[in-house]
Amino acid sequence: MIRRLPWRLDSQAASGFLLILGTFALVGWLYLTQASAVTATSYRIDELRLEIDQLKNRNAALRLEIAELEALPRIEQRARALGFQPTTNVRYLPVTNYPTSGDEGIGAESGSSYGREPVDMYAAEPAPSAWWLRMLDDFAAWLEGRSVTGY
Amino acid sequence: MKTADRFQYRIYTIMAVMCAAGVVLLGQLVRWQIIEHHQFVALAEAEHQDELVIPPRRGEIRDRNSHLLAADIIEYDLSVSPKIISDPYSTADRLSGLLNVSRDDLVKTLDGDATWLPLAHGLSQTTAEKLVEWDIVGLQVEPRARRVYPEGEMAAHLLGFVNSNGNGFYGVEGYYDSMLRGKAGLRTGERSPFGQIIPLGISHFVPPISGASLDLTIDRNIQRLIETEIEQAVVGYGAQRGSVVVLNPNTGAILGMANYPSYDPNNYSASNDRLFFDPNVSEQYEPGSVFKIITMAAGLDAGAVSPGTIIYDGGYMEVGGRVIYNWDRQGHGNVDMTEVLAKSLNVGIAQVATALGKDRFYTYVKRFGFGRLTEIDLGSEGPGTLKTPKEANWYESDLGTNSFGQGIAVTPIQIAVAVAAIANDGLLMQPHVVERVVAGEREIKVQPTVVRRAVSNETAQTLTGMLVAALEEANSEALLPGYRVAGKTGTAEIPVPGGYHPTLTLASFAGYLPADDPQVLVLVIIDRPTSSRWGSRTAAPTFRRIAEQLVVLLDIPPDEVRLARSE
Repeated sequence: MIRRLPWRLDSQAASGFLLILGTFALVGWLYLTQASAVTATSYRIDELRLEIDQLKNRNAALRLEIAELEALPRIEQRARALGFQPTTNVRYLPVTNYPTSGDEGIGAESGSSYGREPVDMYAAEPAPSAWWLRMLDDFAAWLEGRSVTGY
Repeated sequence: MKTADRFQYRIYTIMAVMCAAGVVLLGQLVRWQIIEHHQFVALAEAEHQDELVIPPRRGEIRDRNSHLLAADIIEYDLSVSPKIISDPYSTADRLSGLLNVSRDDLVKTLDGDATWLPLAHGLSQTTAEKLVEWDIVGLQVEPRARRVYPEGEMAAHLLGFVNSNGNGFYGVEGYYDSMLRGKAGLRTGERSPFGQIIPLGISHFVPPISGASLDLTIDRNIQRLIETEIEQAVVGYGAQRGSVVVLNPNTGAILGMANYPSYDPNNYSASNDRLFFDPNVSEQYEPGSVFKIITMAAGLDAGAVSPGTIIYDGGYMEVGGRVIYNWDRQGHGNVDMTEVLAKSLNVGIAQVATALGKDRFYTYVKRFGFGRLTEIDLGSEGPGTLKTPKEANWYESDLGTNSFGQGIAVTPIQIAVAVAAIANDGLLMQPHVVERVVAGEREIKVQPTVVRRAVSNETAQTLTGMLVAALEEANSEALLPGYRVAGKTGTAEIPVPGGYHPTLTLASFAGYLPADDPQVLVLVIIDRPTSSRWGSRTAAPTFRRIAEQLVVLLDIPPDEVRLARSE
C-alpha cells in the first residue's frame, strides 16, 4: 500500500497557492503599471493641451501687438516724425515703349508700368560694372574728405 | 349598527386607507424608478461627473491685404475667496508686487469674511501663469477673451463690436456673429473629491471649433483716407456729420465706408449708443438731385427722352396740384437733357418723370433697388421709404417731387449701388464687404452677384456721357484733372414736421471714374453744412479730394496715359 506523505501534499498545495498568488501579483502589477502609465500620460496630455493653448494665446497676442504697431495712425505719426509728408501731387510720366506686365523683362517683373513696348533704358550706354561705380564713389568721397563707407 | 359590524367597518376603512397609501407609495415608486428613472440617474451621475465647456476662439477680421482689423486676446481675471485664504499677509506680500497694488489694500480684501471677491481684471498671460505656478488656495484665475480692434476707431461702424459676453453687434461682427463665434468644446469626466477629473475614469473630450476668419473687401488705406477726409469736411464745412461710401461698381465690393462722428469699438461702452448704427446702411435720407440720375436713366431707357430732347423750362411746373420750382426759382427756357442735369433743373426732370408716367417711373425706381434692402452683409440695414401709386398715401404730386429725390427716403448704400449700376453698364450688383471666408482648411471666396439689369448697356453708357458733360459744363468742383468723371451733386432739403427746414440741407455727391471704364464709385454725404448749403460747394470738392488720392491708391493712371497704353 502506497501512502502519500502529508508534507508532499502540503507542498503541492502551497506551490499551487503561490502560483495563483504570483499570477494575481503579476496581473496586479501589470494593471498598476498600466494604470500609472495611463495616468501619467493623461496628465502629460493635459499639460500639452494647456501648453498648446498658451502658445496659441501668446501667438494671438503677438499678432495683435504687430497689428497695433502697424496701425495706420501710428505709422503716419512715425512717418511725419521722420519728416515725411503726404503725397499731394502725383504725376504719371508716360514712357514710350516702357515694358508692360504682359511683356518679358523688368516691367513684367514689377507689373507696374503703363508703356507699350519694352525698352532698354541703358541700350545706348553699356551699364558700368559695380566695382567701377564703387571705385568712383570711393574716389569722390576721398576728394570730399568723407570716410569711405562699405556697400 | 352592531358592535361587530362597527369593528368590521373600521377594519375595512383602515384597510382602504392603507391600500390607498400603498397605491400612492407604489405610484411614487413607479414614478421614481421607471418614469423619472433617467432624470435621477443623470442627477446621480452629475454628482461625480465634471463638465467643462471650452469656449471657442472667435475668428479674425482682416482687410483685403490681410491687415488685422479685429481679433481676440485672452486675458485673465483674478478672484479670491478670503474665507479660505490661510495666510492673508504673506499672500498680500506676493500679490502686491505682481499686481502692482498696495499691500495694505490687499490685506484688507484678503483678511475679510467674504465668500468671493473679484481682485483684478485683464491680467496678462505671464501674470496668470505666475499665479497658477504659486498655487495659492483661495485664488481663482479665469481666462476671458476680449475683442481688440488694433486700428482703433477705423471702420468702427463697418466692423461693429463684441460685448463682454462674446456676442457680436452691428456691422460685420453682428451680421457674421454665428460664423465668427465658432463652436464651444466640451470636456466631461468623472470627478475626484478634489474636483479634478480622474484620468482613469470615463472621460470625453470634444475640442472647440474656432470661428471662421473673414477677409474683407475693405482696403484700410482707403478707409483711412475717407475717414480723414470726411472728418475734415464735416469740421471744415461746419456740418453735423458726414458719410462716405467707396465701392467697385463692377463687383459691388465695398472698398471703404466711413462716417463721422464715429466711436472706438475697443471702448464702445463709453460712447453714445446712437452712434452704433451705421448711417450708411441704417439711416435713410432724402437724396435730392442725385436721384435725377435714376429718373434720367429711366427716361432714356424707356425711350421717353433722349440726350437731345429739348424741353421748355418756364421756372415752375404743376404736377398733381403741386407747383415745382427750380432750385434758383428761375426759368431756363429751352434746354436739352444734359443741361437739365448740368443745371440740376427740377422742372426739367419732373417733365421726364411725367413723360414716363407713374407706372414706368416706379418700375424703374424699384429696378434700381429702392424701397427694399440691398442685402449687403452688414447688420441693421434699412430698406428706405418708397411710396408707390398702389399705396393709399401716394399722391400724383409725388411723381413730380420723387423725380428729383424729394419725398423719397433712401439709404446711402442704396444710392451708391444704384449709381454704380449706371457705371457698370446697367447691371445692379449686390454690395458686399466680405471677400473670403476662411474656416480651418476651407476657404470660400465670395463671388460678385448680379441682382438684375436695371437699364440697358446703351442707356448706361449714354447717361455716363451725359453726366460727364454735365459736370464739365457746370465746371464742377468735383472734376479731377486728367480724369473724366461722371457724377451728380445733390442738395436736399431736410424734412421737419410740417414741411422742410428753411435753411439746413443735406449735401451730397455721387460720382465715378474713369468715366469710360469705371473702377471706383464714391458717394459723399455731408449733413447740414453751414459754410455753404450746396452740394456743389461742399460734397463735390470733398469728392475731388478723395478721388485724387484714390487714383493713387488704386493705381489708376490718368486717362491720357491709360488710353495710350490700351491703344
